[in-house]
Amino acid sequence: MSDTLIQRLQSLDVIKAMTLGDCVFSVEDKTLIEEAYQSLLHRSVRRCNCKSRYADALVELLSHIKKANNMNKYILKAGALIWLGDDCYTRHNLTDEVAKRYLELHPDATRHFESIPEEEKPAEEEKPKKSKKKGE
Amino acid sequence: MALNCDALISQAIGTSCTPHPAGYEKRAIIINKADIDTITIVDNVISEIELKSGKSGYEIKQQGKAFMGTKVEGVVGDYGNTWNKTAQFVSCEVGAAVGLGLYDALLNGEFLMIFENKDKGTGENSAFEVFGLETGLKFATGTGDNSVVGAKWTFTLVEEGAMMSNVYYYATSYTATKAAFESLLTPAT
Repeated sequence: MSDTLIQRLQSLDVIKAMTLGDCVFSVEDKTLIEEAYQSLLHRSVRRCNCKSRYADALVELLSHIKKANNMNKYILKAGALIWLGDDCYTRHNLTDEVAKRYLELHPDATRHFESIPEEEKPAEEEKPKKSKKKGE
Repeated sequence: MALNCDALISQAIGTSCTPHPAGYEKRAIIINKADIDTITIVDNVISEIELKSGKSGYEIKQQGKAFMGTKVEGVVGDYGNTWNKTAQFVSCEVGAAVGLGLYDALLNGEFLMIFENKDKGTGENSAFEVFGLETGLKFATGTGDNSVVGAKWTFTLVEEGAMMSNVYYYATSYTATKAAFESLLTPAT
């Protein structure tokens, strides 16, 4: 979904809609919500006669967008388990802070990760390059 | 992975006053063997299964007598005996997506399945059992019968020629293993 569409969604008055219902939305707004809902959440806005179904859908969409923006940058591979002290972490409960601390202690453990931020990668990748040069 | 090559017994069979419930829990995971990145195993206990980037396992949920027919059988061979491991499950799912993405793939693929035993074993270290590690689970039978309520499809996958009767999945504790088991299911987000 494009940034422009997300910005248009964010510009809709969600607070007013939650108070007054769907009457605050224009036909164009409703179409936008329908399309965004289908595109991001892969289902249709619920069909009912309630007066706030578009408002509810907008709340869901904004919460989804917020969650996606705050997503962790470090992701473990499926099945990978790492330990920090007595605490164990999988991709479900790993935070970026924990991942950073873990990789500081175990720099060779990058193989357990599916995703590591680009800015962290060069430091890891420089090592093998240097050793190759020495061998030559 | 260690095999009992000398075929010498080093364990007795005792009796126990603690209950040993039979069967499997209602959820298992099936994984394409091609999607596995690494497996760490000592003797017959796997401590780590990691999938390749972007890959995940798929949940198989059952109702009623879960995974009925799933078993291990010894097979007498000309040049050595082995184990056949049979995994059986049913599906009530129908539709184009499940037909193409699951049923058709089962025909020719090679899989690993992780079951959760109802009997978790001493110290809960035998809760999760793995089929397909050695030679892979492959299609044996598949039946689609639209008249059967709750089990429109029945599949049997078999791992033939295995040398280990049981392969367990255990990472430090039951809780940690359960967490790792669950994390096999989610695709990359």
